[in-house]
Amino acid sequence: MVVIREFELKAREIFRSGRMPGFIHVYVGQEAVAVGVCAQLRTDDYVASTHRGHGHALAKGISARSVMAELMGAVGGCSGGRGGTMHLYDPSVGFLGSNGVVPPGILIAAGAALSAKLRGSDQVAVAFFGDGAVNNGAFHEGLNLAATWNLPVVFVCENNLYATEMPFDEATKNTSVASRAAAYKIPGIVVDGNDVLDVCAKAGEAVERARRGEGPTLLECLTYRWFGHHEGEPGTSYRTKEEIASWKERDPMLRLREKAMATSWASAAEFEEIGCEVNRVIEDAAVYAIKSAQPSVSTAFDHVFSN
Amino acid sequence: MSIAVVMPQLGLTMEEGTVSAWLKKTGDTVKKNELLFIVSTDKVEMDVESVAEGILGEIIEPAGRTVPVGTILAYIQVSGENGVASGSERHMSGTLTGGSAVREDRVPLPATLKSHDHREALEKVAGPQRLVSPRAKRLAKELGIDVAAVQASGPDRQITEEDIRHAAELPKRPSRSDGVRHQLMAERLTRSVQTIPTFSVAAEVNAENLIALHKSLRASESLKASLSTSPKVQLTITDLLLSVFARALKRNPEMNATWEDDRVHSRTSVEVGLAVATDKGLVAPVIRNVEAMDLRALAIRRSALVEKARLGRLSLVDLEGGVGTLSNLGMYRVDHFQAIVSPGQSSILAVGQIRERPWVEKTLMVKPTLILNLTVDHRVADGAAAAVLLGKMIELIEAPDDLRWEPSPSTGNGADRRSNG
Amino acid sequence: MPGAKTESQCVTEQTAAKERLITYAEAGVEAVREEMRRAPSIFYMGQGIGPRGGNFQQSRGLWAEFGGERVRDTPIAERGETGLGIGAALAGSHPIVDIVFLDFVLEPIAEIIQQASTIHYISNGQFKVPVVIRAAGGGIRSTGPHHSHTFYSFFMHIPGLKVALPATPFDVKGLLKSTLRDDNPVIFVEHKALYTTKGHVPEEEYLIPFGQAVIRRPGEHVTLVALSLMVQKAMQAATRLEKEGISVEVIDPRTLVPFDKDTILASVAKTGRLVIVDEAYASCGVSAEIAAIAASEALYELDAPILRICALPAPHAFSPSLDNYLVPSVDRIVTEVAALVRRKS
Repeated sequence: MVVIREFELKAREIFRSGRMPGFIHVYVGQEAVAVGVCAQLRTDDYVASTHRGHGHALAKGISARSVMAELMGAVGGCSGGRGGTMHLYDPSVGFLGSNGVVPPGILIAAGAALSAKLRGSDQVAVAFFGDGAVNNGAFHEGLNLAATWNLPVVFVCENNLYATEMPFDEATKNTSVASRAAAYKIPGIVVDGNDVLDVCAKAGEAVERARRGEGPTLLECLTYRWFGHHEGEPGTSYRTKEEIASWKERDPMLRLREKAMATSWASAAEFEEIGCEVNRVIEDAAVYAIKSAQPSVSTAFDHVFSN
Repeated sequence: MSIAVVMPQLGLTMEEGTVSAWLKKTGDTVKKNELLFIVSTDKVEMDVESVAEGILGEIIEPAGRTVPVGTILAYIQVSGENGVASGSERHMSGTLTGGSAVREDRVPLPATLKSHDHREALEKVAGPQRLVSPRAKRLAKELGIDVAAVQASGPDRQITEEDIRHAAELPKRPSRSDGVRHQLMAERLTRSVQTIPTFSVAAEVNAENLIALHKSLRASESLKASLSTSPKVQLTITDLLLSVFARALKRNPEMNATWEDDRVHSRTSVEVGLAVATDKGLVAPVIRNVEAMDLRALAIRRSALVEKARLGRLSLVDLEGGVGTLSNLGMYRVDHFQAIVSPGQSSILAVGQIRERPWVEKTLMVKPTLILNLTVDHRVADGAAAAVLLGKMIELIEAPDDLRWEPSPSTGNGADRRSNG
Repeated sequence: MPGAKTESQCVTEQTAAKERLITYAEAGVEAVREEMRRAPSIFYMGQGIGPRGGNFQQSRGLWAEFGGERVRDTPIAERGETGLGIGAALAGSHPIVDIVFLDFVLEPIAEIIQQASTIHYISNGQFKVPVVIRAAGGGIRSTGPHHSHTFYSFFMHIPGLKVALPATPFDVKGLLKSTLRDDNPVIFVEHKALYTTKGHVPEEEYLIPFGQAVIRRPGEHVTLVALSLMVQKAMQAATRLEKEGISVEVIDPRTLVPFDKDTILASVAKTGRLVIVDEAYASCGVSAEIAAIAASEALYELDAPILRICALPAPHAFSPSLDNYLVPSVDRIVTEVAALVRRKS
């Protein structure tokens, strides 16, 4: 979680310095969801993600260097600079791509699950998406097909209450995401998206269900993003400062720290150490990314088609 | 009145159907919407209801027959009182006219969709124009012709390639409908090479005796006399070779056969084709019963076919049925070559130029020799058989005494019986 | 691929050694069946393609042979099934997504264009997307405005997608087999009115490479490029025009991406006149693309304006009288080509 937090903050810094092409959507505030879910996955399990995907990518195992370089559009990035922030790909850790459009990830993850099932493998797929996706046709078609065909997929909705600037309760009459699972007769579980241990536990159950061949689960993780929808959008025209502040108090990292120290699971010193280590890693990643070269024009037509 | 019962259209792509069973027989009363028969198509079996009420008349298409959609299957006699056919029933009675072909009205396209008169549009903008097609412009440039001096011939007054060619006094672009013929020939040859497993045997033959025979026959009085009625015919070396090939085949029945339908088909008579070059390409008309022909008959027949070939008048019958072909490139400076077996045949004899070459018979001599190359379909015969055939031909060429100009008086046809095996 | 030959090595339509007449639908089934036997990664999904064998019998017998896991019916959810197909392809499977009616491809078009066509490129070659989108286009017997479309120009427009447009049973089998050995996303467009047509198809295995057009009929005076069902109409028109002394060369491109422009340009260099017949609309269609290619690469070979004979710009009407008028007919092709050659407007 620290890695993600520090990474995102560093990314914002670089972006604001004007060095980063495109525009980014930072994950700060939601770290517990990515970390809690991915901790329950194997390297060969699949993840499909969204435009707000740095957290998922890092949690699934793509290196900070790789992701940062990709944000810079550099050759050293996980997609060779061709994808950028919203199109991170890495088959070696089963990362099926973050996506500029959100709902397709649901279908892609379900498809990977279908493939695994046909191949007789016990791999599991996870689709991350936000509250904005649940009113889209792909959500309905994807969950229905996954449920009907009993696919090994876990649908993780990061409900941060806003889809771009649209509040969830203005987008739909049924503001319970988890309750929609009933329409497909699959379990719909509400999770405290800011408590990494709760996420871990419930995600673990869902992943195991899938792996046992018992089909999909819908997890509604209640969480919040600290910053605007994308860098440059302050996120305050549709949200009150009080609301933002109250969620900051429920910072997942602070809560874990409190719990850990209360149960003596970890000490303050250990947290310090982790903090330093992470800073080193992120600094290194930033330097690597800024120095990394852009792809040469001679490669512009590579990979339009496969061989 | 009668209402026709037709094969119904039961699906987008259905074109025909089979009545698998009639559920009523002639004379039965039928009610409207009562099940009348069962239709099966490649996809489904469906029950079909009667569209009218009445008595089922003669069944025209009994069960089991496959017919196109719309075919009349039977008639229902509609009774006068309670079974009067409705207006729509009457309209629907009878077959559907062929498929879905609807005669299209010749409605002129709306003005907005008509393509512009190019000249009009252009002249509005750029003043009076001479329209010249890009191809014409290019050609004019290549030929050094001044486009301004060229007359446009077409109704649109546009100058085209044809106009430029005309101005340059060039002939019309050569017709390449031999393009089709080329394609066909290419396909035949490709098919041959792909499907017929072949091998070749070759030998160099001393042709001095053959040449001597040819010379003597040409000079003979009897020949001159008998050809007085066919002055264009001359005896050629090719005729002699045709006879040699045919006789050798007759004596080697194994080789007088072709491969078809996965087995060998033997023949009794020998049909040999002769490759003829025409200005439209190579053709190989077939001469029948060659082994039984004397040289005179053969020469006349050969000459007639070659003439027909050069005039492009060969029929399909002329080209089919050969067991082998003789291809003679002796008029060119070709020593020897290997030819491609024609599909449907089993051998081809390729012959080069007769030339003086070194010849060894105990000592080194110089003789006029001929190189034969026999290519054979391996499914019909093996190396030994081909070698034997080749051997026989060599024998006949080196000692051609049996080749007679005319049938011997006693036999009345062919010199066949005079052979010594 | 042991045993398989490309068309240049193998039998062609005209020279098929064992001549066997089967339908266009059967040829497609054979191709899928052979490939599914060869590669366990291939699976098939779509509406009605399971026990029913497909609306056009285009999957007949496959469910019986391969079972309901590999040949699965889907609910009415084209976006869902296509998206899943793409996801499965990323994970190593090779799915055929049967959209059945090409009109319905508008549902999953976002998935096809945004996901399938781009992923190989934007993942820097790390992921391949071997998915086949199969559908039947075109009109037959007044199928009407929602079941008659011929959408292929926008797939030709987007880089990263291959597009096949077979017009004969021989081509269906060869191209569909090639498709199932290709790691790229392929839009395989058949034609409803062609499913019951019969043609010579060899039993032995053969593949047809993409990007190879076929000259269906050689000619002298005008090059006629025809797509899908229009090939048949072009051939009929050519026969009639021959009697009027006009020799027409008919070319069938067979695939739109990769596109064999060389054959067409060589033909234009010979004849000097280009006509394109397409059942789709003219505006921004494939006919426009071919015309543009000819105008930019063979301008100095053209002896006459380029003519496009396409569907007239109105939605597909149901009534046969309108339907037959709006879509190119043999009569219209004959009239317009004759006028072009004789230079009468």
